[in-house]
Amino acid sequence: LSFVSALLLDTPTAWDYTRDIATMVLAVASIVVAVLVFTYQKTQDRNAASESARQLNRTTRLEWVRLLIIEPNRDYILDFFQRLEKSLQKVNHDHLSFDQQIEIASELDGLFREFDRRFLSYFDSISLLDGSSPHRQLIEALQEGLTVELDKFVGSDYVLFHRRMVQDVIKCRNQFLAALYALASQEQKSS
Amino acid sequence: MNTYSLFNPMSATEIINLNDHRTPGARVFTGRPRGEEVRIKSHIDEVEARSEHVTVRIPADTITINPSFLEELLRFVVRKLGAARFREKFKFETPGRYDISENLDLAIENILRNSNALVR
Repeated sequence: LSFVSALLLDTPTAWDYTRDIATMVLAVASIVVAVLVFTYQKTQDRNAASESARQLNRTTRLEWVRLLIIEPNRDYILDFFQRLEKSLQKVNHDHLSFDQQIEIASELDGLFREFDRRFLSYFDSISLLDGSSPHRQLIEALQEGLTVELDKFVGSDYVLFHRRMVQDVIKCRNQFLAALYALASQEQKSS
Repeated sequence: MNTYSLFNPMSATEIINLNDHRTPGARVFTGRPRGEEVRIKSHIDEVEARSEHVTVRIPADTITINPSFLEELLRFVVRKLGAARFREKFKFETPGRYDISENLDLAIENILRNSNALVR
């Protein structure tokens, strides 16, 4: 009551009192803002450090993959696709018996099995790209495509069948190499 | 060949005939989606659980069965049994010329490797 009357009376004491309260409110607000800014900055720093550690980890893994898996197998990868094309020469005939189809399928299966064990399985083991491997998907799609074409083979259209199968191999080879290149580019970006 | 005994509720041997599950006219079994479809339709996981032995009959005119198809078809039984017990329990009859053994080996390797990777 005395405060209100002091205000109404406009005495110097009342103004002083008001100023003190305002100063206190400002001081408290400043402290709250300072704490908020500090906490925000600390969270930002922690997130940045965590992101940086994650990037470093990823870069290390990619480098490891490049040096131990991709580089030593560079020639083998190209050779694999060439050997597929060579095997498909056997489709380039106007007649294939059932036994010949089995032999061709078996030869292709052998090449795919070797490629799987020698190269693709490493990608699975390290579950590099968050568990999914676009490289394996490409190779499996190629094997599936060639197998289905071989099954549907019609002697009168052998030129068409052969051309389509070889084109599938070339298309897969290009996509596969592009996927490997994308992996290497990711590495450069993140390092 | 589904034989049951009062003393042993498990049937001795059950047969899964892949001929019942192939795409009409196809002589190949290929692709993961198809493998998964055959796994569900053949009830292979339930068949394994209730029988001592399982025979998988492959049509005589089969040209090939791709490992990716086998991986999806056998995913759960191989994980459950492991390689050695799976080979004891499952027999693949191939009356034709096609030999499944090498593609089957790779499928088993891949299933078990991916299963271990998931555990890690």
